[in-house]
Amino acid sequence: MNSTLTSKQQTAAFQLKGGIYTLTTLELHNSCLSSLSQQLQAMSEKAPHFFQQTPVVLALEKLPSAMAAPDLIAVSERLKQSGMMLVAVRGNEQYKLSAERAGIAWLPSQKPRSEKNVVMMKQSSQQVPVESLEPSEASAGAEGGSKLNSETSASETRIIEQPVRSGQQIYAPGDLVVLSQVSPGAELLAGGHIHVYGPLRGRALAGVNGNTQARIFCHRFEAELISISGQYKLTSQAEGSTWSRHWGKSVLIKLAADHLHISRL
Amino acid sequence: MTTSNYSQDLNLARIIVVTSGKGGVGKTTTSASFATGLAMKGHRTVVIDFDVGLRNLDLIMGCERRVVYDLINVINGEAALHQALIKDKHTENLSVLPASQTRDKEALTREGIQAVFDELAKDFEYIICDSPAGIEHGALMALYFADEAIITTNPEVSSVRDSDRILGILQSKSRRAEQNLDPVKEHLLLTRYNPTRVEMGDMLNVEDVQEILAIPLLAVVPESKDVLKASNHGVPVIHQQATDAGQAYNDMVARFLGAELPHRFIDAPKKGFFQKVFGSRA
Repeated sequence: MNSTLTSKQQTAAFQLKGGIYTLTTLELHNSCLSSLSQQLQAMSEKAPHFFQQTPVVLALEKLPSAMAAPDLIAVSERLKQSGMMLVAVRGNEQYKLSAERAGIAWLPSQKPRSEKNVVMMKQSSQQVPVESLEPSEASAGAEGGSKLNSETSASETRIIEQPVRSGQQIYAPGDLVVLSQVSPGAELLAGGHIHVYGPLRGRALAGVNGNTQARIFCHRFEAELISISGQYKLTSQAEGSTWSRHWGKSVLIKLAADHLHISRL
Repeated sequence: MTTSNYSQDLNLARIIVVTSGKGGVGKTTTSASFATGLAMKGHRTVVIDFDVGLRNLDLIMGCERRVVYDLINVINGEAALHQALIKDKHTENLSVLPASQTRDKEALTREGIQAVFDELAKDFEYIICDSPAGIEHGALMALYFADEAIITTNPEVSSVRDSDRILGILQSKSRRAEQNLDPVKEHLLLTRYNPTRVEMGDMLNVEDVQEILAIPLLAVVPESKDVLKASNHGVPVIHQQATDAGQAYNDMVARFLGAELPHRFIDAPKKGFFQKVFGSRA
């Protein structure tokens, strides 16, 4: 076959496609090569084959600005010894040229992302970051709306009397009691138990700070998602499981042996 | 006008926002007919278009040829309020304050709107705010000062969810919420309701929607060809009392003003004898 492109039928040599990959990012806190070496050494002693041709991005945003720029070629060499392949460097424009010299890609600095609406699941030991609610929104329906989150101690129970609407997020460090309905798209977070005396149609996450004894009680179970201490379950009526049999009923949900259990009240 | 008189009048004016979250559910149609209905009952009413950049209310009200100045001009001090207000041709007691088509929504400021409302409160009993869709700046500005809200909802799930979202915002971001006053009074208005399709299970029924939103039902407006026709002619549908939609808006206004009327247009029309025998061949 002729190697020149003569007809449209001939297959193209390549096609460009976009892809999203999760890459290990090595965040450099100081540019001293020997301390980097030390840490890498200690790491590979613990787990010798942890990195094998692992692509790594070097992030330089956390580097103190007074500190000299690291020698990327030397860093790359050192990382290779530990099984890491430096593929790119992330930082401001000043590193663009040295990245080119080192033969790796340059990525612009990432803007610090706001941690809005981030609810960590399955990381029970960590504090759950909660969307910072404006006092009025957070305390909608709370007594007089005057109590702020920071004032309530962990043992205190928070009572919400009005419906919790779609898009609202209510957090209580202790127990959370909702006397009205919780709409689809609304979210309840509590360090302790959650009680809902109306239909629960949104999400309920109890024991968010790792309390495995927390329970969810609701008058009418129609939740989108329930979670206790990071163990979560998406729920729906159509599913045909134990959960859907309790749909619309008054139930209790608890965590036992890392599994969520539902039972009729 | 004396100061005491002024503050008295200020208390009298009720600010009502017509809102929904979702677009295309009938906010502007409702604003036009609701404001017209209040004016027809003898209440001095002004209806304000808050949809800056997508001005529509003037078309529905049939006054698009008379727009010279708009809400943003007044807020920016480029025109006096009386220059921007358009007196409705069909109805006494009714004025329209159009939106700007050329500016963007950021031109709406809380202080500016407050000043406009204070001045309107001297002359009007009801201030109807036609909110833009969405939950962004324009919608937030339209609902901020509201005393009451007409939650316009279609009998379908996405509209209901968006209405629920807007109710949450009314509870948390309105002036009444921020200042811990009595909460905004919420009314549910179900529009584009088609009882036949509800019976077939294509649409949510009144009970379904009320169950989810849990606010009192003000009226059900049936889906009707007359609404589109009226909009295109620039005459609010409430003027056409021979139509279902016109009557439904009339009921809505009467109920809003305190009348107790049974809800209509909820059940599908019964099939007549001939239709039963021969089937519907319409």
